[in-house]
Amino acid sequence: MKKYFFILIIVCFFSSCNNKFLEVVPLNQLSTATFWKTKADADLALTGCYNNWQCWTNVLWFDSMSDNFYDQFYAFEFVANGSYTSTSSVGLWFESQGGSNIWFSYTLIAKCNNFLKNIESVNMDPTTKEEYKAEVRFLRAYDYFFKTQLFGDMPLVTNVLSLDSIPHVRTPVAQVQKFILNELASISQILPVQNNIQSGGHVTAGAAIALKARLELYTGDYSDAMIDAKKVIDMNTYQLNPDYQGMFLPGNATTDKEEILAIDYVNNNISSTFILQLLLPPSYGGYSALGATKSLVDAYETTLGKTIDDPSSGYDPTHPFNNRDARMNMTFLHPGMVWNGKIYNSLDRLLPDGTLNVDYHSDVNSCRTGMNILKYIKGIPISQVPSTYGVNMILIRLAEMYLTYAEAAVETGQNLDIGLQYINQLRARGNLPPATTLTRDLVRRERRVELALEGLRLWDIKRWDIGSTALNGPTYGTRDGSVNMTTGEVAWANSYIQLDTRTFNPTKKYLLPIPQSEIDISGMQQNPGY
Amino acid sequence: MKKKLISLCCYYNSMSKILLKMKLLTFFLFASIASVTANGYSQQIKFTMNLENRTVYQVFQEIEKTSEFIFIYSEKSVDLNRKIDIKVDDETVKSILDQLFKGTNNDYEIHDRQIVILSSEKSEFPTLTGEQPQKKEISGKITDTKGVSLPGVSVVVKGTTSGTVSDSEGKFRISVPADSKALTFSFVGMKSQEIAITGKTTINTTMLEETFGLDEVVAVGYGTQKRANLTGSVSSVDTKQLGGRVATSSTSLLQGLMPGVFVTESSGQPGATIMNVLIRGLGTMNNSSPMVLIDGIEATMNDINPNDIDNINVLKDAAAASIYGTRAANGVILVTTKRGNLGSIKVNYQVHLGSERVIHRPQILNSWDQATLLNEAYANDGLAPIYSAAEIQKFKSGSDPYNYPNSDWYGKLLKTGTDFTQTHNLSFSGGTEKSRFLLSMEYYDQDGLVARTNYKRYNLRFNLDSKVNNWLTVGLNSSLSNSAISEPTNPIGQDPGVAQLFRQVEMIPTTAPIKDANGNYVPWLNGNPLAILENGGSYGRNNYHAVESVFGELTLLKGLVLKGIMGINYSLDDNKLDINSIAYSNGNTQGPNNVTDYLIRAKTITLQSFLTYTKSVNNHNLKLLLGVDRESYTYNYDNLYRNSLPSNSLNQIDAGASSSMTNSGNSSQARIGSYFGRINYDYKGRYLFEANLRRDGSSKFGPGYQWGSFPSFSAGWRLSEEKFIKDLSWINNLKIRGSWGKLGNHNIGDYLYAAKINLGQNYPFGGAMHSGAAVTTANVPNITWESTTEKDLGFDANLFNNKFSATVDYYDRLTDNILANIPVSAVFGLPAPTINAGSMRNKGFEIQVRHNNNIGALNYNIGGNIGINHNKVEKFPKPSLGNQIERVGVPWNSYYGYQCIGIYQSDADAASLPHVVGSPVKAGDLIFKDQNGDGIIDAKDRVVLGNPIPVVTYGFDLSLSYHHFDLMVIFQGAANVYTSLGNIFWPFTDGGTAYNRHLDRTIVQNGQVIKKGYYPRTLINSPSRLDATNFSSFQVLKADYLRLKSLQLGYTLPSKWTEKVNLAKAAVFLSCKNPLTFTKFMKDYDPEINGSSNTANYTYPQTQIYTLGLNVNF
Repeated sequence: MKKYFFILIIVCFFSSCNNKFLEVVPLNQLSTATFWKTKADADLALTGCYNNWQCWTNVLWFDSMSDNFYDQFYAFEFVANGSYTSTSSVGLWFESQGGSNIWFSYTLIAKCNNFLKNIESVNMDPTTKEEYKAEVRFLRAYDYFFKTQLFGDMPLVTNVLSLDSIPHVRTPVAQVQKFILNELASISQILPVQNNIQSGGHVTAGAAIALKARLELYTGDYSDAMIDAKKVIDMNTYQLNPDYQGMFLPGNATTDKEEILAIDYVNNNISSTFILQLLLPPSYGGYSALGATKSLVDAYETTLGKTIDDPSSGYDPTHPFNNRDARMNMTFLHPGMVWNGKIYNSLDRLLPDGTLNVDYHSDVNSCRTGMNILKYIKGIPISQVPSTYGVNMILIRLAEMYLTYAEAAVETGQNLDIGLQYINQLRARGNLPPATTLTRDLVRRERRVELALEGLRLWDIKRWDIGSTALNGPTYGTRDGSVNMTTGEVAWANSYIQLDTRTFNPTKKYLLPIPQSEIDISGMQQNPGY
Repeated sequence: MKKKLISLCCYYNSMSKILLKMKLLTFFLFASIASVTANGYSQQIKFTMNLENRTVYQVFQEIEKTSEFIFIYSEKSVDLNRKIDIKVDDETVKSILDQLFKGTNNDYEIHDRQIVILSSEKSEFPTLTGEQPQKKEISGKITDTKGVSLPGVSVVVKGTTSGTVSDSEGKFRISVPADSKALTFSFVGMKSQEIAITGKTTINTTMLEETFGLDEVVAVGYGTQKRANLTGSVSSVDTKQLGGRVATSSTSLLQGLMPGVFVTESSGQPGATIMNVLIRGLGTMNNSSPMVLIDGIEATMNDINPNDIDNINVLKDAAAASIYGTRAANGVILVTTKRGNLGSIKVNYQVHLGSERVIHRPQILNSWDQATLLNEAYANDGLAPIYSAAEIQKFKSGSDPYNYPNSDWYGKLLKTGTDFTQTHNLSFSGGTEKSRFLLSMEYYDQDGLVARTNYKRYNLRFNLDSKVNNWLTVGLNSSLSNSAISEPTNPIGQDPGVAQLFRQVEMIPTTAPIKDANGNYVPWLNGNPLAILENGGSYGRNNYHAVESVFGELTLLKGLVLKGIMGINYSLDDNKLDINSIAYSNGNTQGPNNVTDYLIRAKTITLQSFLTYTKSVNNHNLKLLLGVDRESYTYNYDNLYRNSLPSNSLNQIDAGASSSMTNSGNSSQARIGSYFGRINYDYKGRYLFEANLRRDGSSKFGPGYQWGSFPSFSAGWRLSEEKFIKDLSWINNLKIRGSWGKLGNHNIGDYLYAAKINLGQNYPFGGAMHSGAAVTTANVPNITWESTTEKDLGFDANLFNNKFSATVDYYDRLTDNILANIPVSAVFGLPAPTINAGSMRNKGFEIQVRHNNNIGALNYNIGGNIGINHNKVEKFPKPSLGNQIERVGVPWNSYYGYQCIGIYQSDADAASLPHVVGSPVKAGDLIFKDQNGDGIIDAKDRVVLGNPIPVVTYGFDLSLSYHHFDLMVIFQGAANVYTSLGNIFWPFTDGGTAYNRHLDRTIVQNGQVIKKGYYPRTLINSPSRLDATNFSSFQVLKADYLRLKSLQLGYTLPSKWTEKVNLAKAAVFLSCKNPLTFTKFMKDYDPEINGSSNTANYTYPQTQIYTLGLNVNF
């Protein structure tokens, strides 16, 4: 009887059931079924497209694929010296962006296509909706610009893909570029005319036209480049920043009216341990990841406004860094230079007190070229920096539009006087005397030093096709010698630090290889020379 | 309250009609484990007989046939031919025996499964007329290997049927004819012994457990089965093989003993050894770890104290495992814990004291050779040397030890620890007819080779069995544990823990100084590992774990038993990462200091109930099982962070700067609901059949794809039961068995089928972070179960009184619909979604042989096993062709790259022979083979270079005892296996160090090789170097090995000593883990290292552990 009593208890408690047991849903993710309804959804999705749309390492490290800088850790150098292959795993990335695999990835494009498809079902103010769409179309166009610069032909995808509709045939680069230009022209009508401070980091009409001008310059469409550069300059919402060095330091987000397009950062988004840890000299606790080359040093004019090979330039080989373009000492450190009250010495293994010099160029984590990067860097010992850095990383600024206009003027022979005036405004920031005639050499040299370390040099080398000189032969860093740690005087030796020997292969047409993993999967056509 | 309970039982609604009835009963949270106690068996087994006019002998036979009882009697004292009628209805054996011997001179005693028939007239030795034969008294005590006294052992005079049984204290007294030669001791589950009398009056003996006896009962899914009746493939390790074996973790008990069960251990870090268990090779690209159940509750091997384990059974084929359907595709490990036995309370105390040392360590090049080699590397790259001859001389002479040192980073790191291990185990067990218990405690404390590496473990177990009345038994399995792994951590900003320090000391060249003249630490690239060790902070992983289950067993009707288990498996990880800032000689500080607290809470609730029905009619034996099971799993993660604490000595979150605080967290859930059933049928124990069916529903899949069915069928034929063999006394058992079955696997992430929009896709606009969302994963809604189909053909033999046994298995396992992220073109823009994509096959043989015997006082038991497994990918669309590939026809994850065929002898060769496009190869560089002969080396020239999963795994073990000594030896080996170790083949990687082995390099002068070496010419990070590091066979090494895993020598103190201090038993032993390794793998690293990653070598090295132990029974 007791037995049945037990059974009865169970029957009473457990006689009712339902079928929901296997239904569990994620509690930290939204469901597609309920999304894309309200403006709040659209705001989330728009922000989602901006997330990781570009990475600061793609600005800083890109010059180490050129003759400006040398990268000792992440093998960007191998692009410069011609040994980069389709299976090379080089590059670096933080915050999920940058790096060779990411350059090729369509993550951003997929996000944008998804946004553009689904935004239509959102019930919101039509004008705002068009603006949102224009912003997203810009991000997509920018990404295509970036991809075609690196890889040439790339599949042009403008709709949401399913697993069985992935194209593996590469769209000719001209066709992709035409798409970019059309998009930029179209959205520049929709986006607001604002500078980056006013837009709070959202892309603007100025950014669209400036990118268009850049692409037109790159494709040799000088007259359109000139028109578009002029449009941006004449918007009167941008102005040159008198503080060349400060423009690249934390705080620029709220003061710098020269920014046209930037990756926006706030204090808790970009970690100083990334920027400063990698770039500061070892004596500050950093790794000296990037160093300037002799080639870049030699590009800066003397204060007389002449190149150093000009006997009348006033260049003094025993004091090579004296009387030079002021922007030089804002871009990299050199032996004997006083920075933060300390003398930078990358030349001596031992310091005067007999201890090892951590900044010595062959020490494991010190600057290989002996000339540590300075642009973007504050001289704060690693231990004292706040945990976040908070600098906007500039992608396009007004000075580039001046240079674009000037170059287009030289190449077309039109409006040379306006071009010269623009160039001289930039030279003034370097304490250089105004130039009197606008020449191709002047514009190219000015472009190189003004935009050093902003990630554009490789693409300039490419369109000017100067690889056989810029990316060929031995690469040097600073001249050897010994630094007097009291006076900062350098006793120079007759040799230079040699970094490597570069071999330029013109068949590659300055393009990166399609990653082998992609070829393995999709059978995509490889670029020539790989 | 009522409503809550109601919602608990939900999913049973969809049950089939057959199960509907059962539903009412199932939730009775009761049930049981079929552990049978000494006298319990005779109470448990009920007989229904109606025999007329049978002889006593026939009745004995009938009882022996339908039960596990054995009769022991002297023919002279029992009239076997007396005819009698027996009529019982669901009554115990006692009723039969009472009827049988009513009115005779015979009496009986029941000892577990033995029934001893005695004569009340004490006339077992008939007297000869007028002559009293000379007799003598022999007495003694019988214990098991653990010194526990054994009651009920039958002691028979050899050559007669007269004898006695031992009493409740294991003592016996027998009078034997003076001319008797020997006594035979026998007991169910123990090996029979024969001991010569030769003048002795006292015979004390230890019974050895009969491991491979046919009556051995092995655990199978939701029950037990006699080994003789198994039709599936089950490998076992029991108390005898485990007994007293020193183990750092329960997983290590699986090593070397079972064919097809392969365990690798790739680190020696206290508490953090990385153990990988594979059963019959790798069956899926997903989690390939076998399912582990401890007393029926899913858990992990880490959850259990090795000393609490009674036996481990590994269900290897589909027939054995399919009752666990969903999660059984990788095999199932059933762990049964020890339980209390009937009798007075026994106390066992064990202590182990141990010390460890490194087996293999990287040999790092001294500073002067390092400097010379670095200069050579620079010269090879056409660059100026780094060190002058004078500087190299300074390194060598040690005249300036602060600037030109020879720093032994690795050696210094290893010397910092105390490496002392102690383990204490204390257990109490005992019980009465009504209630039995086992209470055990473990304290484990291991200090590592590196300062502040430590593992502490506390384990408490309480197992209880209680008989409420004659139809209800309830019980508890309770395990509570706390394990704490602590280790030094670093402010480098990479992985926390001691592995990072090993990475550092393996990278830093000996030319880098450790301290300056003032005694301050000098920083290197990522700081100074010895400074970090001393001041860098600590990382503590503290796990609290409760595995609790209550079970009940309710006898509903004769032969019909309802069992139920309710279990809670709750794990709380309370972890703290306390990172300090470190000041260096140059005035710099590495930091800032910071604290991360994180909690992981994981909970599994299990409810299972099942009915078993047993029925035997005229040699037809039937067993039925029907059950339901449901499990719900919840995972929660919370993380808190702050930095810039005012002092390194503070480590609490609220001491950190509030401006720096961040937090994060997530949660997930998964559920499984199941119905299962099994039919066992045999005819006379000769023809065996078994069928299983499990139906599982999993929340990992979307609606419509959640349910899967997993059937299996198996059959066995015991040839030894056939007449023509039964008479051959040397054959104890011959069995052929075969099986076919399906298994499932759903071991993938949660919610993968669902279309989701991920939050956290943020971006700062105008100086403030804005929340964003985006689709970041692609979902395929119709994904469903991986299904594994396995065929097994097996053969078991036991020969010569069970002295030899052999088991052979052939299996063929096809895993289909493997859930995998099929590589997808980057143009897709989303990571590859999880789909049912691939299939792979594992095919192989397993052989196990064992022989045990005694030569005089020497008892030995020797076993060997080998598993040969061939893995082959059968289907995998669009494989990614990285360094490891999935390609149809070759083993999964095979190494893939260029084939290295030598070294260029001259620049001219390098220029003319095929090489990687664009690669500036020179004399002294590696030559890759141009497989397709097109004159260039490119992606098309890559070939398969080796299999990371061993094809052959084997082991052998030996245990022997001689008087008071015993010895146990276990070997494990693997063959036909390959490993790659990343960057270690090139010196100076990323500014790193060179090793002694790199001295054996190729030296080049003027474009010609002037000295041949194993390694190519030395380079720094140059273009040629980049090309050389293209993945090739140069980096893939054969990692075959044979390792003496365990060597243990014990001495049991003579009882005349121990009795004086009232100890039942005392034994001391010396044990060594990994004392010997035979391998051709590189000397610097352990062959068990987990290859396939660039940082594999950056781990705490594998160790040898020497242990001294004492084992005492009260």
